[in-house]
Amino acid sequence: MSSTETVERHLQGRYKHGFFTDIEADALPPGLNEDVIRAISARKREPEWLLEWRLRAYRKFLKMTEPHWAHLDIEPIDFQAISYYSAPKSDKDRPKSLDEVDPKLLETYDKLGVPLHERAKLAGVAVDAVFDSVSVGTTFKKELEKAGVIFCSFAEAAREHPELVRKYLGTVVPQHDNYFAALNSAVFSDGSFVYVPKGVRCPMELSTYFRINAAETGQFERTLVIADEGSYVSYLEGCTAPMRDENQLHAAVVELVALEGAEIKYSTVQNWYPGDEEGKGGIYNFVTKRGDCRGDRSRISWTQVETGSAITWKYPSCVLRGDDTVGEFYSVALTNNYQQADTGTKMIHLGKNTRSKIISKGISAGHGQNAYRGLVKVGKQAENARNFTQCDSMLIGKRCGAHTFPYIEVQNPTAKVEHEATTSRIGEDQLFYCLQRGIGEEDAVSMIVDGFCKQVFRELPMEFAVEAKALLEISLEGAVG
Amino acid sequence: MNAPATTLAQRIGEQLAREPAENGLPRWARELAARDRARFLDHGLPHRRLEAWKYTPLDARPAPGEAQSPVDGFDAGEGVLVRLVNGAPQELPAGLPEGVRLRTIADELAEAPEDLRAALESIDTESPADVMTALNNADLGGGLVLRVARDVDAGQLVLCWRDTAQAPALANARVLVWLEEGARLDLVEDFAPGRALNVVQQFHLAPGSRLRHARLQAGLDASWLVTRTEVSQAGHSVFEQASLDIGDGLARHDLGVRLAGSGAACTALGAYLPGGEAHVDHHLDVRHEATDCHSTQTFRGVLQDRGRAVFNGRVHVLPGADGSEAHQSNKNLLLSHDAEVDTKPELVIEADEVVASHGATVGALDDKAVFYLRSRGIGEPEARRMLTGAFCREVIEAIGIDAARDAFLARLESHLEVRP
Repeated sequence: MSSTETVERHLQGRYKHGFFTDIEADALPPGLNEDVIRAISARKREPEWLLEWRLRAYRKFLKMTEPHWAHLDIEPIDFQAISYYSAPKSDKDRPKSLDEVDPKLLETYDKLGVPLHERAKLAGVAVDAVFDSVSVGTTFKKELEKAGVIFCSFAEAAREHPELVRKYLGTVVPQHDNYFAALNSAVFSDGSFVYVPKGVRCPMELSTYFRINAAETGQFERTLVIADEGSYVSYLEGCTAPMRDENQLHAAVVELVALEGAEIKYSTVQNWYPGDEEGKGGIYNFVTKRGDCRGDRSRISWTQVETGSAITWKYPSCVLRGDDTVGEFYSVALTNNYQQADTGTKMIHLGKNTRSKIISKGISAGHGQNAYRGLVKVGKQAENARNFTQCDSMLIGKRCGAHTFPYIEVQNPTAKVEHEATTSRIGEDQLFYCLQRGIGEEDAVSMIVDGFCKQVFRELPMEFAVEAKALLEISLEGAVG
Repeated sequence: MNAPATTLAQRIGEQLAREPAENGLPRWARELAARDRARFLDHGLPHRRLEAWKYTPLDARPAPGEAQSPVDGFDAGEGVLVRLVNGAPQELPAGLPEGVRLRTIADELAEAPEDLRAALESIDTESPADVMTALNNADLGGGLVLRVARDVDAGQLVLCWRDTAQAPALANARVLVWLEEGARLDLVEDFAPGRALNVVQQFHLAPGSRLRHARLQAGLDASWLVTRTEVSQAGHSVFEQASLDIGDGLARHDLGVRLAGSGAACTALGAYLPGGEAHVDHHLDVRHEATDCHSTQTFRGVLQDRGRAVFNGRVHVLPGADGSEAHQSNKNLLLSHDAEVDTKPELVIEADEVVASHGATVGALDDKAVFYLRSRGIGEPEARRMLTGAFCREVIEAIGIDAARDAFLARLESHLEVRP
């Protein structure tokens, strides 16, 4: 079934169930035009300037064409067939308790070791049936307030802190940056906003998961994280457990701004629906993520574990604008069955004495296609820039692919840029050794894969790392033998 | 300032209209030329928006110079020398070994053998990225065809490419080589264009044959040299290419290799030293289509002044090409604030029993190494020259053709004397 058909099927389904009655009035009919954008903005009670901003982005979007340069096989997307706004599901649509949830899903949670009370929330059980998470969220919120950290939904930030949003929105990822960023700028549904004041070390890891109302930010997420001078924040996005999601196309934009001496650590675990074993369905994840090391001595680090989505297309990047800034990118991308990924990073060295490090691990199994695409650019004024890139690929099976497209552009002779890459498979001898020691084949594979990914997992916050490891094991089930 | 490049495209268009190369051509060749002339007029010169020409947009370059090439050339020694002036072969040598047939492409076209037709039609020119090949097809008639019979060692053939003041705005030439089973050939090319030259080469290697190909590019200031070499290799054939680029103009080399038979091996070596306003662009595409093939790409660059180098090395291992081994290395020394390197070593792997690796580096000379040499009483310029020379020699010393290796090393030394 094609993607548009899938979208249509869902859309028709909604009509059939009366999504357009007065009670469920908070959904827009499919289609994209200025009225739809005005309607989204109105529903979010946005200030006038933000609506104007969206409309400007839309006009730019209209003049752009869909890109096709990635090593991806994408079925055509009908942008007019998508509904650009649907309110969070009302409780009566949700499963009433875990008994109504697909047992297969629960089995996965079990393997991942997800705590009981979280399972309900992840499976989309109505929030009032979930006992603990609300109170956990509220406790955290109080502590953040004490530190002066602003952590709220994007729509709330636009109303409560317009001066901050206006100052930074679109300064890292301009509206016309690329086709999907322009689309996002026009129709973004919601997302997170973080501001860490000067000199504050955020007292806890911020996670979208603990933010109340974050459960359904919609398909066009917009995130803005600002770390003011000398501050530190670690932000976790996504979740290891499969999330209930009915949107086919996700086009998120994430902007990070690190001012002088600030540090932002952004970790993502993405495990959206990858489609079935035949490659039918699944989410298109076309994301623009970029961090701007705007102040001197600032530091941005991206860590990602990408195991979900039918198609992943994202390049979390760092613009090393200030002097002595540091950019890092650690990635594990896994494609199994018919999944495709074209992912990597861009490190743009502009300031003096800037450093960047890229560690990318790609794993392909089944019919999966996994591409690393990266850019390291050293500008003319970027004295003493240093980059080290390592991208390794592992192939499991005969029908998958692993590809590497590193772009290196150097305009300054004091730069030191190193790139190395290897492609390998799980060796017969490695497997044989494990089997001989009484370790089963699947365990052996996950052990070898875990070793392969170690450099990246080390960068994840502790509990995330444990989950990520379990997640890889599950994603690889049935890939061997 | 030179004339704008659009004028060059127009001048080429006029040139194509004025001198139809169709005379005496078979019907299919006339049709091919006509089709591709239309394609060139439609697409124009390659531009920045084409990924393959992103760093070498010919349409934005100053138009090529109008200088006359120096007459001196590579000493062919015991080999056979053919001079090609403005892309057209001069007198062909007599007394070639038995089993070696060298003719002009015009003579071959008159006979129109099927394999020639298949070869000329085999390169797809529909994409704007292949417009320089379309241009070459549109201007068929200049060039050579060499055939080496089974198990014959053809020895060394030297092609000496030169321009005169009468050269057209852009000269086109074609070189086709067929090596039958077990045949051998050492092909040395000495390019010193003064204007613009666009050469397409097609090499066909039958099972067990070996072609060693060495190229020296010493183009004059503001000259253009665009070459495309397509190699198809049958089982256990060996292809070795080495290039040394020390010219002052623009050089763009495309090398496409199909490892179509099991056990075929291909090596591409290159050293490039652009200084002044020189621009060197190497694009490689090696396709592993059969099992147990090996490929190696080793390129070294030294950049000075406003020199610019582009390296795009691609290795594509197709499904089923198990036992493939592919290695790629590109290292660059950036010695000036105005120079730029753009490198992209690509791997596309679709088989799992594969050993593939690639590496790329960009940096300056190691200060510690310079300091070490100075502490041993060697002056700084000399120390730098020694280190730079050693960096490039690693590649040139690996050239298998003795005469070419010695000559290239000598040229490298004298180049470094002028530009330490």
